[in-house]
This record gives sequence, structure tokens and C-alpha cells, in this order.
Amino acid sequence: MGSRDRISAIVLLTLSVMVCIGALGYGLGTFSTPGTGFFPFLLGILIGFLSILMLAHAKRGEEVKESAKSPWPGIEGRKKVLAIVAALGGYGFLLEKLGYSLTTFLLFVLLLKGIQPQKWYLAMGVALLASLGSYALFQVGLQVELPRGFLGM
Amino acid sequence: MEMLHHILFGFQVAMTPANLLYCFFGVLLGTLIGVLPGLGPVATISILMPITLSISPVSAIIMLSGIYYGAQYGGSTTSILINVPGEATSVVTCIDGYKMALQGRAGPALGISAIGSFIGGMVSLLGVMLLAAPLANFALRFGPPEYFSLIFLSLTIVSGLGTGSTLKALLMAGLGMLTGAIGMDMSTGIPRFTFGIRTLYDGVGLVPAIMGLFGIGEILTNIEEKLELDIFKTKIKRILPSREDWVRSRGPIGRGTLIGFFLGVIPGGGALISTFASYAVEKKISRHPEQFGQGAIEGVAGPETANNAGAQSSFIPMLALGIPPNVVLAVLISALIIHGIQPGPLLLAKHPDLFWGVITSMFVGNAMLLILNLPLVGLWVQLLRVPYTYLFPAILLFCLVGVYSITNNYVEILLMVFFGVVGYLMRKFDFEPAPFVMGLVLSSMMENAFRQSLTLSEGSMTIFFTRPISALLMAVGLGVLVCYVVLGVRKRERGAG
Amino acid sequence: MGKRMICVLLVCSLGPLALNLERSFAQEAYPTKPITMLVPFPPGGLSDTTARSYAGAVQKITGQPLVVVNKPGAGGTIAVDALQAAKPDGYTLLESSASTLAHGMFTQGVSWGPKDFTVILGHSLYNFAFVVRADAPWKNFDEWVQYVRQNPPFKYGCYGNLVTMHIVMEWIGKRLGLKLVPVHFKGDAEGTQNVLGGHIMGHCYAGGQDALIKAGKMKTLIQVTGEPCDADPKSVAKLKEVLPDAPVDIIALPRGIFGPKGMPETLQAKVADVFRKATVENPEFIRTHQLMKMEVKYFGPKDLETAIQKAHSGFGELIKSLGLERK
Repeated sequence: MGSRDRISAIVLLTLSVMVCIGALGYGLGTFSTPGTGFFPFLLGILIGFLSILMLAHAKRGEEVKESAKSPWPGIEGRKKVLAIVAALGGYGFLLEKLGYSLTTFLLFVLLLKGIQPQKWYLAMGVALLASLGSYALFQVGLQVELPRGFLGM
Repeated sequence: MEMLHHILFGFQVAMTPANLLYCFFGVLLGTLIGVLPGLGPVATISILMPITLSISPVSAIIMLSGIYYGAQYGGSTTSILINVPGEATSVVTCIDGYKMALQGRAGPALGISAIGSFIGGMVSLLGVMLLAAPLANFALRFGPPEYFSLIFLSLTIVSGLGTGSTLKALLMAGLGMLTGAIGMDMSTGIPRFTFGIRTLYDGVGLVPAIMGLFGIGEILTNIEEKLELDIFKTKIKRILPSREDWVRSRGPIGRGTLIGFFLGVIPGGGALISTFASYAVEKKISRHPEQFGQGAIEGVAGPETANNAGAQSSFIPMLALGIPPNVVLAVLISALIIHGIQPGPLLLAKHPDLFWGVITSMFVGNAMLLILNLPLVGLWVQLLRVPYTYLFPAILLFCLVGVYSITNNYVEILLMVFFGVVGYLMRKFDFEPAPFVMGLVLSSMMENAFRQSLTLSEGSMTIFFTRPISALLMAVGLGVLVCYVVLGVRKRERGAG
Repeated sequence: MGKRMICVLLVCSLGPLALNLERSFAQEAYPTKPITMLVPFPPGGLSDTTARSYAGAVQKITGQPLVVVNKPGAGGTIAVDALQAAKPDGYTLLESSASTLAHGMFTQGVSWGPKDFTVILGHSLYNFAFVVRADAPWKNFDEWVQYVRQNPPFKYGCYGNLVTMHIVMEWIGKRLGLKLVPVHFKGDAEGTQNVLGGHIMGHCYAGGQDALIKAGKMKTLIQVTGEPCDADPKSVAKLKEVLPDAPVDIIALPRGIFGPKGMPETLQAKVADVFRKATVENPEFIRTHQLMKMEVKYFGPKDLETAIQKAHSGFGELIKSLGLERK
């Protein structure tokens, strides 16, 4: 508990300092005509103040709980999390280039094989069903404009 | 007596077979839209607008309104089942609703949600009919200083959300507000903290943030474990709320109705603020506040009732003055214009059939929604039985399509993924995402209100304290803050001593 | 071997011929697939309402649907970015105020200008006016000017920063020596709300003020373009009459439809033809805009192009003289 809080407090404190500096760059203006940086600056101060409080709390706080189970996942878990993040990011970048159906299909195959590996035919089958089915639901049924990639779908 | 006459007239209009059908179609579609994260009522209403040109204006508006408040019913479904709020007004429902689902109590959560929404909606409608004019005038009295004070008060309440420490909640709210400050400054046109990304010029979108923090963050946290471990308790305990659930929900539903009804009239943030005001109130007066955040049914009953009551009363500024209190009703106004009806203060006088017809149709619509949603509870609960391996890609897909469909801009997808990571980290470091979202939503409203107020007062800060409503709100807000400090100090003294 | 060679030769010679036929067919028939209309503001706004009011007509005329795609943000420039990324084949168009294109360089700091578009047509005009509460103490423009001179500064609502009406008011202030302070609201709804609530005395409108004036809650103080919505339009001062040197032509431009740069002339004409029928000749469109009190007026591509050019060249100077340039 304690060390985690300490880390987050320090991160937030650093952030607040950066925000205040940035805000000053935008100009604070005066009280009667607040400038662009006025509000962010105040927020920076607030966050800084609160994170200092949190730091004080954490220092004082429950060192005993340190030995408690670490919330961080093991190497397996970490790989899975990264994989999903990468897959989703890739989806975002490729969606307009490859078109909805293809990108969705790829995503599903990746997720079904990569996270908790399913048999190939299952993965492909569900992926196909998902991409075509959702296409029908969204594009045809709800008339949402889904991007068509170079293949025209 | 004249009121009765109007109501009967309204029912005549609303109860024609054609209009009943349109109403049904509207609320059905609305529920579906609400369930699908991201695909909002705005998009649907806009898409359907041209189609409605072939039917009468009254029928069109009945249907389109149905979509709007139907979506409120549906939005809570995803909040409870998969921790993805359909709208900002459903965020608070996630806190306890999702926990209930994890405990196998998704059924009661959904059930109470539907029933509370129904009661809240009906009573609120009565209020709309009887009090439309005075309430509209009340809403008008909220100028920039009043908005600022209201939001200030709301943010002090925000720290009551969830289980974590007040300090952390306030930090998250502050962070959320900072994120809300990203974008083009409205008064000067200078882009703030946008790092040159054009998409950020109009600020961080609410939908990518919500779906990222709640939906994706949750999935990332879940997949660490082996997926064979059913994320949702296999034994789905019951479908309907128990007697105890009922008893505990009575009060929250009643209070939620009042809170939602009155706050919903205030254009802009009223309905949203009512949801967490309700949550905070229930937590405050509960005999077991520590249960909040762990699956307390009051945390679902109150806010859900409030948000539906607010959805109904938000029609008041629109019907009485032609002022749309949110984007959805703005689109509705657009539909009116295309149909050749001019919204404004003269709407009631010029088109009484529209005015009364729509209001009475909302009674019918709410009843339909209750009948629709209760049996659906069983269906939704079955959905949770799908193995998580297949469920989570589906949830991800809905989030992806949902976020893309709002602006057809793939950058929003990347933004959502970013927030997904942030949400994941938040959970790891023991922070709550709900206050962050509240800060995000309210940030620009608060800043604009602040600057507008100062321009109006020519630089004097006293404007917040000299106007009666504003002064009252500020006083309460400051009082709440003082309470926190006092309680905090006392706790520390007790701990040290 | 021989037969194969002949086949290949045949295909090679017929291929280009076929392609040519294909192309000329494509040019003849427009449209053959759905048309995307980009709208630079969120649903419910004036641009969105306008686009949807002719969407149905386009489908009726051409048999192809018109898909409205909202791309809001950055003062209307995000939608422009999307337009510029599209092919100039007539299937992606933009519904926008010509001001965005003419002034964007100065108000939004973008790098493109009027030369980077194909003008299809202009179809309507905003109803720009400064509107105040009906119970305001000034009966007309002159009384207001006097009041402001004696009680500076005067706070007025505006729906955005560096938008047309903001610039107009700044110009009026400079011209008459008045201290005018804008309070920026998010759109008309917020402005209307504040005027009705008495928190501010007046607000700038671009259309949509009709309902409130008819209901007797507000009155027009000065009309910039279009006809006043008041019961007695003659009693309302028109900017061009009161101050003839007001640069209205540079600031207030029509609204219309635009395409990406590089659309061939024949295509441009075809598209203009379709949309002219769907807008200025379409009773539904006319009715909708009458309700919003926005004058329906046709501007052909060449005329609109000239107007935009003129506005663009004059705008830079104007902005500088008012001290409103982006820093």
C-alpha cells in the first residue's frame, strides 16, 4: 500500500509541476480577464497540494502491508496485457486502411489465439462470424458508416 | 381542470394505433442503442431523421423522444453487466452495479434499475405536466455564477464516490478536470496541451475516455487471470430483486426521483449531476456506508432513478423555451425544424397537439420500457454465461465500433486505448475512475462558467457570493469541504493517539 | 505459341479501349454510389439541419443516398481536413459556411486557403443580427449606442471566438468608439438561455432567433445580413444603412457546398446541378430555412469563388486593424 501510494504521489506531483510550468507559458492573465493558463495553473496547484498530502500519508502509513500480495501480474499476465493493447492500437491504425471487415477479422483471430489459445478452426470460425455478423448489424442494420479499406469492405 | 382537459387531449393524440407503434419502435430502438456502448441516441436520431419526414411531426417526435429516454434504460444495462457505461449518466451505476454482477446479482441490479427508472420517469412526468412553466423559469435563473457554484458543490460531493479515500478521489477529479482542459480555449482560440494533434483541438472526447477507463481497463485487469476462472460467478443467484432489495431501494428511489427531477431541469449538466448527487446522498444517510462500492443496491437504485427522472424533466427547457439542454435534444429540435415546426416559447400555443401528445406518449413509453426490460433481464443475465474468452473480444469490438462511430476518426480509437492503459494503471494503484470522469465532464463547464462570470462582474469575485442561489451553493460546497478536513484531522488524531 | 500471342495482343489492345469506355461511362453517370456530405458541426446545429434538409431530395433526384457525416471540431476545420484527404471525384463533399474557407487561415491558423477547394454552389445566407431582450431600455440602435457610450463597458453574448458576429461587433465598437466586451457562450442555446434569464442583455445570432422574437421575448437591435424577424422589420436598423462602410461582404459570406481541390469542370457542373435542385429549388429546403429565417439564395460556383477570394484578401487587413490576429 505504502510504496504504491508513494510512487503515484510522486508521479502526480511531477505532473502537477509540469502542468504549472506549461500553464505559465500560456499566460495567466488577470483576475478580471483570466488567461488561457489560469485554470490549468490552479488545477496544477491543487493536484500538487493533494499529492504532497498523499505523500505525507503514505510515509506515515501502513508499512506492514508491504508484504501483501503484489497486485502486479506475472510475466504471463504482462504479456497478455501488452498483447491486447498492441492489438487494439493496431486496430486503430489499420481500420481505415484495411476496412472494417478485414481488420475486425484479424483482431478476433489475434485475440482468440493470443490470449487464451483456442483451436485454429474455432478461432477462425468465430472471427469470421463476428466480423461479418457485426458488419451486418452495424452497417446494414444500424446504418453506421464503417470504413471500407482498399478491398472495398 | 384545464390540466385534465389537456391530458385527455394528449392521450387522444398519443394513443392512436400509429403513434403507439411509433412509440414502441422508438423505445425499443432506444433500449438497443443504449445497450450498445458508444452508439448513442444522437447518431441514431440523426440517421432516422430523413425517414421520419414521411410521417407526421407528432409521430416523428414521439418516436425520436422514445429513443432518447429508452437509451437511458439501456445504458445502465451495460454499466451493470460489463462495466461500460453507455452514457456519462450511467457512470455512477457502474460502481455498485458491476460489483453486484460480479457477485452473481446482476438480475436484481438490472431489475431494480428498470423499476426505479420507471417510477422516477412517471413521477417526473407528472411534475413536468404540472410544473413546466415555473420550473422553466427556475432553470433560467441559473446563470454563469450559479453554474460555477453548482459544479463546485458537485465536485466536493464527488469524493463520496466509490470506496477509496477522499484524497484519492479528489486527486482523480482534479486530474479529470485537467484532462478536460485539453483543447482549444474557447475565449482565446489558443490550443492547450494538444501536442499538435488536431483531434484534440476540441478536447478529449468523453466516449473514448469512458470506454477506455471503464471497459478496456476492466478487461485488461481481468485477463491477467486465467480465463477459465469465470469472471462472473457461475451461480447466478437470482433474476428478480429479493424482498430485502426492495425494502432497501424504496428510499433511494423516492429521493432519486426528487433529485433527478429538479436537477434535470438545469440545462447542461443537471441530469448528470443528479446521478452522483443521489449516490452521495444515499451513501451519506445509509446505515451501512461501507457497503457502497462493494455492491450496495442503493447505489444502483438511487442514481438510476435520478437519471431517468432527469431525462424526463430535461424536456422542460426544450418544450417550454426551445432551449435544448443536451446534444440529443438539440438533434430533436433540428428534427422539429425540418418538419416545419418552430421550437420556442410559442410551441405550446401553436402546436398543442405536439406538446401534449409528446408528454403523454412518454407515459406510455415508460410503461412500455418497463414491460420490455424486465423480461430482458433474464436474457442479459444469460449473456454473462458466455465464456469470457469469447465475451471479451466481443466487448472490445463494441467499444471499438462505438467510439469510431461518433466521429469517424480513428484517432479516437487510439485515445480510447490510451485511456484503457490509464484505467488499468489506475486500478493497480488503487484509484477510482469515476471521479476522473466527473472531473472530465464538468471541467470545461466549470471553466467557462468561471470566465463568463468574471467577465460579467468585470473582474470581481464577489459575484459568486452576492447572488442568492450561487451564494447558497457555494456555502454548502465550502461546508462539505470543511467537514472533510475536520473529519480527516480527527481521524489522524485518533490514529496517532 | 502463336495462338497465345494473338490472345495476349488482343487483350492488350482491347484493354485500354475497355478502360476508356469504363471511364467515360463513369463520367456520364454521376452518381453511381452513395455520396458523403461532411458537416463541420455536431448534429442539431445549423449546418447539420441544413444538410439533412436536402439529404432526402438528393436521394430522390439521383437514386443514391446522401450520407451525412459529422466531423466537428476546431471551428469547422477538422471537417475540411477530411475533405482535403478525399478524392476529387464528387463523392465526398462539404457543407460549410464559405467564411470558414475564406478566413480559416486567419481565425484558425490553418495553412489552406480558398484556392484549395472546388466551389460547387452557395445556397443560403445566415441571418446575422445582434438581438437583445424585448424589455431592454433601448428602443433602437442609436439609443443603445448612446447608452454604451455613457455606461462602458457593454457585455454581449457571442457564440464563439473570432466568428463572424464577433468580428462584426469588434468592428462596430472600433468604428463608433464603444467599449464592447464579448462573453463567449457555447452556441446559441446557452446564449439564449442567458438572455432569457436576464444574465446578459443581448446575444449575437446567425439564424434561429426567430422563435424568440415572435414570442415577444427579444428584439433585434441591429441586422447585419438578411431580413429582421421582428414584427415590423422596417423599424430595425440595418448595419449597411447605418454604417455604409461596414465590411459586411468581407465578413459575412453565404453557406454552401464544396468539394476537394481538383474536380474537373464537367464533374463540378454535374454536382452543382444535382445540388441546386436539392437545395434552392427544393420546397422542403426552402421551408426549413424560412423557419430558421435564413434567406435561400443561389450563388453559382464562379460568383461564390470571386466572393470568397475578395473576402480572403480583405480579411487579413481587417483582422490586423482590429487587433484580433492570432498570436
